[in-house]
Amino acid sequence: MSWAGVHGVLNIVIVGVGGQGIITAAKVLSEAAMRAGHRVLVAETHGLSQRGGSVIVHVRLGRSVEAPLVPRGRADLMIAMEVIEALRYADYLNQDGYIIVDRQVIPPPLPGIGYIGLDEMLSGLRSLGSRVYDVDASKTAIEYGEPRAVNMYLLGFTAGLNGYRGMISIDDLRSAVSEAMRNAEVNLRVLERGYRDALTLNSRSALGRSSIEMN
Amino acid sequence: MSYSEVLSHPNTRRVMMGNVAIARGALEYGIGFASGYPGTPSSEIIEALSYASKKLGAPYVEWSVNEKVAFESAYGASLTGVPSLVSMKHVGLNVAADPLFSSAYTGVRASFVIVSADDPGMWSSQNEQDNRVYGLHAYIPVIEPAGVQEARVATIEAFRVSEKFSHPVMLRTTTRISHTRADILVGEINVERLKWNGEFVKEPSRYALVPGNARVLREELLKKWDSIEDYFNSISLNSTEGDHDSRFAIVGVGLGYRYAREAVVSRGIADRVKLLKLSAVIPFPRRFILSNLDGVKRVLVVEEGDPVVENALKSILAEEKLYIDVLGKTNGYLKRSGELDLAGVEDAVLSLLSGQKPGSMGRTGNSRLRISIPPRPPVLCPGCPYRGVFFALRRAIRKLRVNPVYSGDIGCYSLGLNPPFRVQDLLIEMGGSIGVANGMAHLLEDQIVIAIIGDSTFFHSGVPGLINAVYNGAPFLLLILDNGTTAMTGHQPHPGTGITARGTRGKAVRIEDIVKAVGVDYVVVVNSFNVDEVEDGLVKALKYVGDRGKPAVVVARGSCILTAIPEARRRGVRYPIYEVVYDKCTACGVCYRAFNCPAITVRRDGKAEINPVLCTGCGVCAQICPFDAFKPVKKPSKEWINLLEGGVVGGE
Ligand SMILES: Cc1ncc(C[n+]2csc(CCOP(=O)(O)OP(=O)(O)O)c2C)c(N)n1
Ligand code: SF4
Repeated sequence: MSWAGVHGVLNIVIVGVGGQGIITAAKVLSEAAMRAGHRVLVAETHGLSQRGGSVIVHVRLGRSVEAPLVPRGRADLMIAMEVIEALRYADYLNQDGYIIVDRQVIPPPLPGIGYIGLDEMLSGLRSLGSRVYDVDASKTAIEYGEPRAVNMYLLGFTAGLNGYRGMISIDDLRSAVSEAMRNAEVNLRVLERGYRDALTLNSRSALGRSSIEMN
Repeated sequence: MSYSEVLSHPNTRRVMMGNVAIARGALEYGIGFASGYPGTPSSEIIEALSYASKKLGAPYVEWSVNEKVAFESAYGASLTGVPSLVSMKHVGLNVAADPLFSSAYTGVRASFVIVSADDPGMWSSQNEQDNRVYGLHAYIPVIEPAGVQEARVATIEAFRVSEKFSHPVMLRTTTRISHTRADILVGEINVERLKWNGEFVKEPSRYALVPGNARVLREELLKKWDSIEDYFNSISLNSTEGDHDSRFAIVGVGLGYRYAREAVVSRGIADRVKLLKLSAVIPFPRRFILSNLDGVKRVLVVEEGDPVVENALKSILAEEKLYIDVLGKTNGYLKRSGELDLAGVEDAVLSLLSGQKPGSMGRTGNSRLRISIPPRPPVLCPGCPYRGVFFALRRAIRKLRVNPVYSGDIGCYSLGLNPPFRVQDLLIEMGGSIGVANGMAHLLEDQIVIAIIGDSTFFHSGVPGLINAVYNGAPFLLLILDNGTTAMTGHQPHPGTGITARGTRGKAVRIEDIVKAVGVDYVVVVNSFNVDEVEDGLVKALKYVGDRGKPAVVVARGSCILTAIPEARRRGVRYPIYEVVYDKCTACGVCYRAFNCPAITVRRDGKAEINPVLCTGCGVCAQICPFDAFKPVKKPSKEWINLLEGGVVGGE
């Protein structure tokens, strides 16, 4: 049994590039968790790392959480706004953990870094053996006219997969977004779209696709 | 940013950051004055208090010019009988150390709490100093909240202790308290208790620290220190739980208590150890600890930072001739640098029972991974005014064929350290760029010193160094980067903006006026978003330094893009996005190598590509491309150009 199961704790890491809305995602998640009646801890890093650096935010839910950081190897869930960052922090996941990742590579702006391919990075991620759901979050967010809503798509998608293991529902997320966000309307729509896409995916897989995680 | 949660309804739970919980605690206690200087991880305390002040009309809140002045201001407020708070990051207390030591001698009138936000792990700092040591050194009591969960309550308690003993009290927080959000149950704010009028009652024998007075006060201080220790022996912030007859004990200090508590539960040994929670830490509550170590054979100390409690405990045990093994950071049971982590504490609590040292304490890498992951250091934002300035600086240096030493400083421009710019050869602390340049400039033969400092940092601690340069004739170039804000720490206003923490408009202090007033003869102001203008200004100034052997100053002015864009949105000003003209692009790479804008990436064929989501329309790429291959999708408006050139007046 997973450690999470034993102690009723859900460990989540949200990763990406500084400035992508990672802290906002964590904020919404923590509001939603509180609405669902859980104790919640969200450890963020501000300052230097917010300037386009690599960022990880730790979210812990459950009655017995005391310490703010998710230990390596014990995250139940990773929400990744970018593929290179998903790879960087993949060792935070436990064996049953899964990754919801935007199908997007943001090359680090290092002079001479050259071209980095999405497919190569994604197959690297899959080779880790974790369950990977790569989704078109940024593409969809742009379609909805709010490129910064990538986080909303991913939060919604995770709810559709029951990635919060019953601890946070889409309704909790909906009301957290309506209250905590300035641009609530478009963000809600992207959240909803992510949720629906996951539901569709799940029902399709139930209809015979062998493995949705290979999608 | 909105901090509405700081004013949430009494007796409700709201998710808030540790820093906001600290602000809330101060409001519930009833302060009349708060000051601070920004610094990660402390800044949100003053920001949240400013929010409250705007909504409630009290308390008085300010961003001060630096930590020393912030400290002295809040101390002054307390002497007028008004409860006050000062907040800063750990290294800020170095700047404020002088008044800190004196404040212990005089004591205070109304309660006075000093919040020190330490940064173990150095997420945003130049060092990992543990400011509890200042408490020992300066006779300032230290209270550490047991995690974000206790931040509000511990703050109120710190004010009460200060009130009880008329003595300054330090509240020591750390990154994982300050910047962790949790659901916090809040108490009541009484708005009337935030509105104060001060009165200073004279008592020179106490407040004028001449040697004769200080000698008397020293004796009084030592007595007070003993009575505070006595009080900490029974304060409710310190407590015990678990198996009281166990031979194994853990002292969980501040946040360390949370790690210890979760670790004993997750490892299934919660009922086999005795857990001491220590939040009122300095002066070390000797009797509390000793009375709870009766019959104990081994004790583990879990604390964030240096082994301060661990060492105190060891010396007390030695004094008492008690043979209890103390495990912790001094002997390899917990790691000595960086932050605590749950896995490390779990290993340590198992060691406590087994007596065996944990194995490797290093982080486990991702052994399953076969492709290499490129690093992603922080970089200047797309549209940052500094990118064009650094590009121009490198060009000016090449043109003049001089050999520069870049004396750097702390701010977003520190990121100029990395390739392709490499314009920060050294950086040690705020204001250091000018101080260090003063020394070097008198000694270098074939090199020329260029000191680079930001606007907020110049106000903070740059001015005395510049006066020194004028007075002693130190020949160096000072480049002041005026982006109209304190960007690195989250865009707080500073004296150059004329906007106060409470959002009121005061008088703006102009950098070039200061520079002229202290006697610098060569000063020019250039537009950061105009590469040729910056280059020309730098070339002339460098020549002046070389020819005259005197200091010269170039002020490069241009708005931080992260303030320009929200301001543009507020005013309904549209900003253009740029695109590549592919017939003209020759794949030369100047834009993505030498200029290195994150919004410009390489296509497979080597030509440039602009990411429309990241492009901010600063337009500098169009100036630096040798082939004229960038053009705006729409012509930039006058209003937008104005905003870039310094039309944003600081603040949020
Ligand atoms: C003594 C001290 N106080 C505060 C800080 C935190 N800090 C780091 S950079 C900075 C100011 C940066 O402002 P500015 O010089 O205007 O540069 P910018 O970030 O806007 O480029 C501050 C306050 C510090 N490092 N040291
Ligand atoms: S926050 Fe402002 S000053 Fe800092 S890197 Fe970004 S644009 Fe430059």
